[in-house]
Amino acid sequence: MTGTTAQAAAQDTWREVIALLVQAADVGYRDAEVNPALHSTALATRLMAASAIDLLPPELDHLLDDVVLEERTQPMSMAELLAAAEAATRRHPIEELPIGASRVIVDICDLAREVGQ
Amino acid sequence: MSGGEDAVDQRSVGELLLDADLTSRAALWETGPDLAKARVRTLGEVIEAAADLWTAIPDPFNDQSMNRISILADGLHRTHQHTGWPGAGDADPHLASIASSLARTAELVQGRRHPTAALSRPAQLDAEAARTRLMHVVYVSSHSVRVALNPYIADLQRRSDARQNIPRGDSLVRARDARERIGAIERLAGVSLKDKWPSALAHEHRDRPWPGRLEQALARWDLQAHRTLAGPPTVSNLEVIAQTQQVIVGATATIGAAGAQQGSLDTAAVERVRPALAALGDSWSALRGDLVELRGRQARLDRPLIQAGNEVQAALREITHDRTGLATPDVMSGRVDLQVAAQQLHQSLTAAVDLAHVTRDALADPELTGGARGAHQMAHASNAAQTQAAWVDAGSLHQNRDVPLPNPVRDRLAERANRIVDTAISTDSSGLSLAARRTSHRSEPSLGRREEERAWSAQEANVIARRGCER
Repeated sequence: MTGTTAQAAAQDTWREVIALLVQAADVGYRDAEVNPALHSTALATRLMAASAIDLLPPELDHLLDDVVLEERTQPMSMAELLAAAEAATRRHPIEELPIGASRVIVDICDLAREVGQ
Repeated sequence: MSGGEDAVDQRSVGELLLDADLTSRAALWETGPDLAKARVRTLGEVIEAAADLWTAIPDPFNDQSMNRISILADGLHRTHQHTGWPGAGDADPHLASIASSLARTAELVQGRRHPTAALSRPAQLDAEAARTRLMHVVYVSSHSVRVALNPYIADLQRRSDARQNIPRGDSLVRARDARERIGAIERLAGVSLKDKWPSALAHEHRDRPWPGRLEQALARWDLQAHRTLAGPPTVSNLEVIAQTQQVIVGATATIGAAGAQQGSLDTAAVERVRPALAALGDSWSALRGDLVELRGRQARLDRPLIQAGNEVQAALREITHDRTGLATPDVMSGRVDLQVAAQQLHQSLTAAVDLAHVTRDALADPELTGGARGAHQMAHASNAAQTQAAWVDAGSLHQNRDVPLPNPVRDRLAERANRIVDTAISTDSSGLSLAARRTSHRSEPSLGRREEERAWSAQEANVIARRGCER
């Protein structure tokens, strides 16, 4: 893969990461109806998704709606979706991901660990 | 983590760096007080190996970032030698593996490159990528050490609070010092990676909540929410404002209930405000639900709003939560003065009456748009009499473009907004006694900032008093 192709593929993956984070936040909001303590975690996940979106060029925002997540993610819990988001970032070396991705990856790991404990 | 080492590691430079990256991330998933000292002990090896490799990678710009990190790590190492903490012992297996991979990478790079050879453009790009990967490894590794230090410090703090002996070989003071200094290494690495999200206060760990944090976070949030809504309104910004307000309302109820149980708040006052808080939380939640339908995933937010939201979420969470569950009232009261926290939250809810009005204005803004699919579904579900062929044109629906909101959607949002305004006013009035009253078991009449400062001084004094006798 050329550098440009690799970076385009990494951007696609980053969009998948965002879609997983958005879904994790939505699952968190849903579960918070039964367990209000989860509101805070859902908000943290939502803000993390926004941080990840901010690393992408705004003119390509519309591509986010085209991301189709795998069927297996549908029944996943918030913790599983966060873990899936982190796993997706591993497909590319860090230099191919958007600038600033390191911080988001670390935040995902921290929240996933906290939620999973 | 890499497997067993053969006589000669056959992996390429890229494979070794990738292994180091994945191993550093694996370290983030594992935490616990037992890992802390080994990680502190081994981080120096990681940074030493990283610095050697950084030097071996050709760099026409002579970037000194790793050199600065290396100087900090050397200083930390000297302190460890002087103080005897963390002392001798096993290395952390994750960090040791990373150090080994980086050392081997440095050997490979040094062996291949002629020291004076000019670099081609592709080789320059490779070198730049390698430096980015290397700095990322240092960034994540140093974070993994802090992640392990947090529970270690919390454990020692609990022992200290319970007047139990600190085990021989452990040190609360040294561990705190190490966490601060390793935090500086992490921040330097983050800056070098052009971290767009500087280490704000939001996710910083604190042993105890800083007394002024909640008040400042709430004030910053209120200001930022107003600033954001002063600009062109967007569904995604409004959604996060609604969600954050819901979290603030929920935390007020939680802290109120804890305060009543602990005797620091008047039970009758807490009971009086409880239904109003529930209604206010429900009305923000209903608006958030509608706005979620109207936004797609391209929900870009104002960056200052994200930062202010993160901070208020974290400031509340460190009082009300233990991991993802709620902390017990006893634990919460050990963290902060619940009456002061309730007052600060009530002030925020008073300010939120205005925020509710501003939100209503923003929702009524004719420029406000939403995702075509959500707008169509919401308009269709409203059963409003349809005066045109379709609420949303087919092309916009297919592309899920942002469209002006159809009237039934606007009406629904206006209804939600009016409900928020009403419940915000009702909560503000019913919460007055919550903010004003104080139970008799506390003799000091003074409240607010001065009291916070005294409380902080007392904590500081305790820490200072314990220094030197912790072992």
